[in-house]
Amino acid sequence: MDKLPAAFGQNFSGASEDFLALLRRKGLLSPAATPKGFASAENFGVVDPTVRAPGPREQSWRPTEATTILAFKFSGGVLVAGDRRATAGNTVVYDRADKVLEVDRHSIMAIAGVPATAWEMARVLEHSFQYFRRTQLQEMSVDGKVRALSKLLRDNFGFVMQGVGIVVPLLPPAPVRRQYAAFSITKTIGAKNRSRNWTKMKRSQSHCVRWILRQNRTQQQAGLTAPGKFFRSLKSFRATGS
Amino acid sequence: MIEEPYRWVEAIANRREYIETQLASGSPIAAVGYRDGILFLTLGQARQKIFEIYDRIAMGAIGHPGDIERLRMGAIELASTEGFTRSAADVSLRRLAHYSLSPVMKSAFEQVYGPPYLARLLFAEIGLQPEEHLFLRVEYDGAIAANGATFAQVRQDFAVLSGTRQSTELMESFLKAEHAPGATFEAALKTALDAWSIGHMALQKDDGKELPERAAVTKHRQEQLATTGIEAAILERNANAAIRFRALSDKEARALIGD
Repeated sequence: MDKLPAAFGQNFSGASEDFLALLRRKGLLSPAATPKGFASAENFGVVDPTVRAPGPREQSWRPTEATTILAFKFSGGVLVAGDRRATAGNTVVYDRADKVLEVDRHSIMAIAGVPATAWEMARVLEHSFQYFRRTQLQEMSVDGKVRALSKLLRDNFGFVMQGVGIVVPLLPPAPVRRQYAAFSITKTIGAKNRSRNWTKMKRSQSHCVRWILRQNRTQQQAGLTAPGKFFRSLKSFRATGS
Repeated sequence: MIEEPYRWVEAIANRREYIETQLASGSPIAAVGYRDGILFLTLGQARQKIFEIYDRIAMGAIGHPGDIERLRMGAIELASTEGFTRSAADVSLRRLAHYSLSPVMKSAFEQVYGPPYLARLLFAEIGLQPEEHLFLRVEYDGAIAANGATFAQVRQDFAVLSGTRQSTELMESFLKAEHAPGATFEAALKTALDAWSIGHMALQKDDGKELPERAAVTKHRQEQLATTGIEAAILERNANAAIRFRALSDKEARALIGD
């Protein structure tokens, strides 16, 4: 609404245009960085684990502890929880960071990685889903939502390669019509993995978490409600000191 | 030839007459404020006529479906990009209608060689207080009628849209007399339904300048309800969610009317 439009500048196949395309057409989306900035990673003081450049910095790199998010399906829906700590190096920056974000009434996105990038992604997704629902007069399908997220992640890949924008989102959208919920952990490049009943996410050591969850499942914790089970998992995960 | 001023005025007048004829059969839409929000109501469900534009903005429209769709898409696009680049709180109906929709519709109407928009739109935006409800009617030529207080009129908590001027005026005079600001939802629903019936009756016969008898309105309403569906939507003020718009199903609305 900045300037008076002489016409709306619509393309007449407008019905199929998604919100990202609209933002690009209006020049409102910051272009993704290109992966050419490999060399500049060192200038940022960030070491990219995928670049095996020799140098003293490589020895100093070790996988750091990062966000933990757990998500469960239970009879009443989907439960997602995570820690709230934001860190920079070994400093705690903020202890009330929002990492479990409501995207719309049917989907939640939990995030690990660079918060600024992740929050912007959640904002783009939220607007994309609403834009689709309002223009097309129907809810976007679960597959459509997952696809929208993978597109965003792929666009972000340039920043990931520069080591400044790694984001690992977890998106459990609940389908409006069908009876099951699906979890998608979408990797930084946009490949999606699905899990039936539970899922977890951590930037490092995720095999360990998966093992704890399996244990809990096989132990058949009778009498525990879904949230109870959930927090027990979260505690036992913390107890491993991983 | 059309460059001569007289010819241009004549061409515009013809065009206006043509559009008025095209719109004359449009089923009325009533929008009324109630204690906790704004209600949009119309009858007849050949196609959807009440839409969500943004979190706090709803639209009702009559006219050609293609034109309604273009305007609706334009409005959603503008509101969504504004809401994305700034914030949802910065999306305002006043700016949307005055700075974007109205100029576009005016220039389409006045460019005699291009097609005009065959549509008439009714917008409502919910505010924090009932006094902040904003209703705007945007005509095919870009003219805007608002519910605000002017020198000859007090601020109104309703707005209507109909096929003819006469029908619109009758609905307005009925609501002016019958609609109380701060009404309950049930009362607002009934008043809106009566206003619709009056507007619809006026479309069928062009003689009446005065409001029809109470009994005739009730009879017409019952006849119409027996054969057509109700389309209604509300904008809720106190909703916890950011999105205030909610469509009401025919069943839900009928249960509240109780006839």
